[in-house]
Amino acid sequence: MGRVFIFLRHFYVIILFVVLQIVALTMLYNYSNTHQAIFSSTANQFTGAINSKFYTTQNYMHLKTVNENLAKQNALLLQQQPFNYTNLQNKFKDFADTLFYDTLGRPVVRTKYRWIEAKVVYNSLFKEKNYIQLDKGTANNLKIGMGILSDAGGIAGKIVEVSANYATAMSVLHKDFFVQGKIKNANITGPIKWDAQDYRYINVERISNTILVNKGDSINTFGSNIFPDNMPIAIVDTAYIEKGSSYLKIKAHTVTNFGALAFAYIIENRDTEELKKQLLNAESK
Amino acid sequence: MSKVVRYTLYAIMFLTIQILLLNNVTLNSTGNNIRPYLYHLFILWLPFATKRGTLLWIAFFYGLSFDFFDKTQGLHTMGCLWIAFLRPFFINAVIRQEGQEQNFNAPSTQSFGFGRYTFYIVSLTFLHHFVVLFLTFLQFGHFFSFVFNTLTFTIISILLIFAIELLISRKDAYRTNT
Repeated sequence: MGRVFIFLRHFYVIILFVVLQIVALTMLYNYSNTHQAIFSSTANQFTGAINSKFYTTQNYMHLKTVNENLAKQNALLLQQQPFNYTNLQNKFKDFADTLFYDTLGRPVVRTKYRWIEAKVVYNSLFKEKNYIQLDKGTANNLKIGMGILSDAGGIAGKIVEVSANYATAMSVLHKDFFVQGKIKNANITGPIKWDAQDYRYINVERISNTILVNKGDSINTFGSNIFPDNMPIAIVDTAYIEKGSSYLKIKAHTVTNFGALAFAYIIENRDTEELKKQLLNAESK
Repeated sequence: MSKVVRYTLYAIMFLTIQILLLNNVTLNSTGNNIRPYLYHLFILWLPFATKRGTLLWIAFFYGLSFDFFDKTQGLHTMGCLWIAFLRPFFINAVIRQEGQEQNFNAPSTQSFGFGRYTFYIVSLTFLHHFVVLFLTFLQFGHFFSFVFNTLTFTIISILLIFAIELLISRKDAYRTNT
């Protein structure tokens, strides 16, 4: 036994080095795969508190853009209000009533998506894996897997880590982020990928080169169980046939201005649990 | 000022500069985002008298606290551990004469001489960037980016480190017991 201690003392430094390396590597591996880190919740809480203090100052420089985006969003929402429309068939009935209730007064619609507003406290742009941190957490019923939309209306990410008052989301600018994009005019879908080069642009992959895609076509979400359909993602900037490939090379400008991200809307799909359960059941059969 | 207090302040200063300032800066060259790194200089500045085991523990927790802010759990910790582990060998290799580390407090241009200090900084900075970018490369897989970034990141870091060396004067008096 004594010899073991002598051995350990003699090789203390190298053993410690190897052990710490393994701990670090395990953390890196776990975080890359599951985003569940050791002390993750505590760290999220701590970094969130510090980041929120700093990001307020940084956001001050983008106030003009942020205000313009919010005003645009407001105008869009006002346009969707029921008082804009009159019922042509029956002028005595309120349009809003007929929209949500049937003749017996039973509700005909159900809230599928719930929106929560949040302030961005951290946002990185220049790494291969970028994250957005928000100032709402489990206290506001946030859960892992919820989607994020920016103040400009475009999709921005997906929540991967939640603590009591802060949440961390995987940005669209993350190599593992996955969403299907639908090119509106061409009516075709393909996965959206970020190539870790410029934070203003994303690529649409797997679109056959027989399809005509023009500059200015809008790319929207489609068939995602995080985001509703037809939420804007990006606008096509360049599209050309790559040499020796049967696919188009499409570069698109994101609707979300990641450089000036100050506010975000978190979107909760209330059917996610049900969908997941059903899929698991179907797979087990 | 006690040594512990001074080095804690250095650590906080480097982390603040790196997280709040340098993480928001990038140079975009042919699609590669060149990020300036400075925070690892703290480990290179630690006193000669630091025991090797202590050095590793400091590097581990220092790297980890940076990783929590950078959302790269474990990545920079591994880089820091490598430079902390190999630091004593490099110090032995570049020191002017044996026992010189007894006469000075910490690695600096005064204790090593400018040329030797540059070699020490360049090689360990390169090592740190190599480890960090190699791990990124394993996850992301752009070989050209990896080679290009390792070189450019090192150059930018070296320039920053010498700017910091000029800004912060670390007076290191020659001590002798002879």
